[in-house]
Amino acid sequence: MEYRLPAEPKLTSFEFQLYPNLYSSENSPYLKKKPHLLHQFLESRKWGGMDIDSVLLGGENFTQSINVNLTRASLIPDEKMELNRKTVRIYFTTYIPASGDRLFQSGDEYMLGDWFPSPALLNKDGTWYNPAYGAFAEPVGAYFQYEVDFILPNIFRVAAPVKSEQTTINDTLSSRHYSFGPAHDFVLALSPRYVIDSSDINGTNVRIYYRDYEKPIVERIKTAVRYTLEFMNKNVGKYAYDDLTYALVNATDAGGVEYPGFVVLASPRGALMATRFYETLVVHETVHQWFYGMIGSDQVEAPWMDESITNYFMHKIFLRYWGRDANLLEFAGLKFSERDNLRALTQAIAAPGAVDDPTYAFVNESDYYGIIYFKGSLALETFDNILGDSLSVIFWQLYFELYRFKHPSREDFINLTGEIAGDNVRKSLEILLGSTDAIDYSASNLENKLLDSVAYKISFQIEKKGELPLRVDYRVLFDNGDSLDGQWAPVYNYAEIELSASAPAKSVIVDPKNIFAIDGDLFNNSISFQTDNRPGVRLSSGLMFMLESFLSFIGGM
Amino acid sequence: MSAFWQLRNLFKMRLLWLYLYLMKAILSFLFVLPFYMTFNGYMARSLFSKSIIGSWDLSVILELFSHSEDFIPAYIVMLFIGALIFVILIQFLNGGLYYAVVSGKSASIKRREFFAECGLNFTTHIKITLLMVPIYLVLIPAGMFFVNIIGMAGGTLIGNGAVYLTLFKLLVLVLILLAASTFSDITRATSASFPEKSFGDILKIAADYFRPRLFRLVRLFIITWLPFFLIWLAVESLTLAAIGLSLGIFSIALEFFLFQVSAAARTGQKLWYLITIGSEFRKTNPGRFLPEQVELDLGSK
Repeated sequence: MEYRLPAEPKLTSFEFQLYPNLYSSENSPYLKKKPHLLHQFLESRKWGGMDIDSVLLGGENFTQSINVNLTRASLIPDEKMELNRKTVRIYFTTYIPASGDRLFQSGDEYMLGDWFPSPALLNKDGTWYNPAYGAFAEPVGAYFQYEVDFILPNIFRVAAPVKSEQTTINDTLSSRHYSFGPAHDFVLALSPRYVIDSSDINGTNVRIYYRDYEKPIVERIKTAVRYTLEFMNKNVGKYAYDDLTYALVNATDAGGVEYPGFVVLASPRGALMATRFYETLVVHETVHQWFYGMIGSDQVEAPWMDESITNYFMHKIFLRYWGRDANLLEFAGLKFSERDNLRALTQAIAAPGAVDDPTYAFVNESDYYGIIYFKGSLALETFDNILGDSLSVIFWQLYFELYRFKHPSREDFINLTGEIAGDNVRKSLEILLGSTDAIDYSASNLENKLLDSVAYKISFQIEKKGELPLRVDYRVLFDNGDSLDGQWAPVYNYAEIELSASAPAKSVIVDPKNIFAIDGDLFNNSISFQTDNRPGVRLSSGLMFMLESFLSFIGGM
Repeated sequence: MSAFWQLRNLFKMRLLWLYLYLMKAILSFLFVLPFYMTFNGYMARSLFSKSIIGSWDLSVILELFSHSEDFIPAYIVMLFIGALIFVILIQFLNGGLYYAVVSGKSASIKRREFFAECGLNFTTHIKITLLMVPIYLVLIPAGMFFVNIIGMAGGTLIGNGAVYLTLFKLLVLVLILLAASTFSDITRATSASFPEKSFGDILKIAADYFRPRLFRLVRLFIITWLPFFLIWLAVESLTLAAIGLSLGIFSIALEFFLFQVSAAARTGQKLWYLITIGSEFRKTNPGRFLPEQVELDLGSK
């Protein structure tokens, strides 16, 4: 690995990351909180890791000066030594584990993610940001132009973010050269059995590397990629590279992993594919090309800046192309949408945590995914709804333009919100990201009183939980089919609203457009004057039939 | 053909069929009541719950369950206890039921005689259940291990191929469990024919009958099950049509009625199957149902 140190700022040290060491033992902080992955390692006993064989700085050997602490390696030569503009050359050996999510071997197939020593992020003051990776942190890297030379046996087909220049060395070996960037990582996937589907989708050369048996899924992947590229190019910014590569692998832990210009997808072998869950994976990882790939972020300190935003955009794409009510499944009267999935998982596993918590704040996988992926997505949806359609497009396009191939911080995101939408929205965003309190709007105590022969006095209560400083819409539906829209500007958490109308009110809905997607309870958002037992009766009737079938099964009758 | 011939006996036993179905329906209704009483108040005045009238909208169901963290575990415990009571109740009724189908007295059996047999054979049926539970507990993982070996051959299938393979694996697993269930039925029939025998002897007689007839018994079950399966399929599509009519509470009532038709058909299917195997069993193992030999006094004047 060769790296040219920049001319400025003044450097007194050089730091780099040895990501494969996260797979080096059962004491790895990365594996400790991933019990499933750790179990696989304990079964196989084939650990991964990286040895630094030697380090040359400006041609001089500094191997003895290297200090390694798991993934963090630092080189601090003589204080008087001028480091700027020098070339660092690192000779290394990577041990590929049998299991893993980014770097692993499966039979004669190889997934090579984060396989080389990667320079840490250089701060403006000349120090380095070299994070300690816990269980949920993904690799952080600066943007580089990669020039990669790779020699390998001819039997392999190699999936990479770009096409290579290939030179045959002899009957068994060939060399490849890849030129790719700007990007903050470079990945390869190798298999002797890869078949390549190559097509032009929205001006991008999309290549899908799959095994023969995965052919039935290729068209579905392409459809999901087409929708995602179309939506993201139009609403956020143009995809930066000419190529986009997908590799199907026998992943043992992760469903999918994103890299710049490259998406790893777990093989769906054995899957019934009756729902669109696989499409959620393809869309999610593809959206990462924007929020992670082109717009970097600190994935250790602010995982919401790639995962929550990405999951929210996945939701937007599903709504746009597969509809609202049953975009995951519609079968025998059963409807299930990606939004239902998000809400259910948020309620089921989101512990009281804040969306902008760092990765090391989480103690287990379910809390991390519950808060960052699910609650985070609903928080971002709420934020985007508050912005509204026109400001939303402006915000995301400007965010992309300002921070393309940069690493914006939480504050950058929030400041841009304030500049575009004002202080109230900025404050709301801070609450959505930072608060652990439940947010819930409700309507109750709807009453109709006959004032005279032509007028009714209608009264109802609205309540809010959470500190969002925003007005909320309500809608009154009347018996005669009319409706009346109003807005409540909360001073306190409760308000009683009274109005006169020529017809009695049938129902009141607070937040009828569901702007506050993060609302913790959607049942209490509306109140009807008259009770309607039909939903309860139908649900009970269905449950009774299920119970009868269950009793028949266990009792034989 | 013998199974279809026994259909007339099923209709002769229609009152027993009705009672068995009602017992299941009433018990299920009792289980559903706390669910309805807990959730109806929550749903009845909210517009959000309305979509459940027209479809099984999971957004409503999941939202409901996510706000019932305390109710759901307690409800599951209640269902478990209820299911246990049902199984014990069925073991009691099995005494009279198997007596009726093996004796051939299907329609003519008196209530007193039926319940006397229930009491007489209750412990034997409980013993058979206690014997079968570990057998099922062993057969389920063993069967799954077996079907997973089959599945390894098609482990790379995706989509429709994987669906067909899963259905095939399920079929194999069901057939394995069905064989065990059939043995349980034959053991119960044996206990009806030979109530005086020890439990060991009953098992021996049942095993001797079961071994050479395993495939025939499983085939008989499938023959009696297929019409029920067709009824169930028809009910599923008709309920969708009923709800699609959007007639409000009338659609829901029609759907409920169709569900109950399916539930009653399932009870009828099992009864039909028992009448069929009971009749066949009596031919080779009449036991106490062997007609008494009467000595005719032909020499007298």
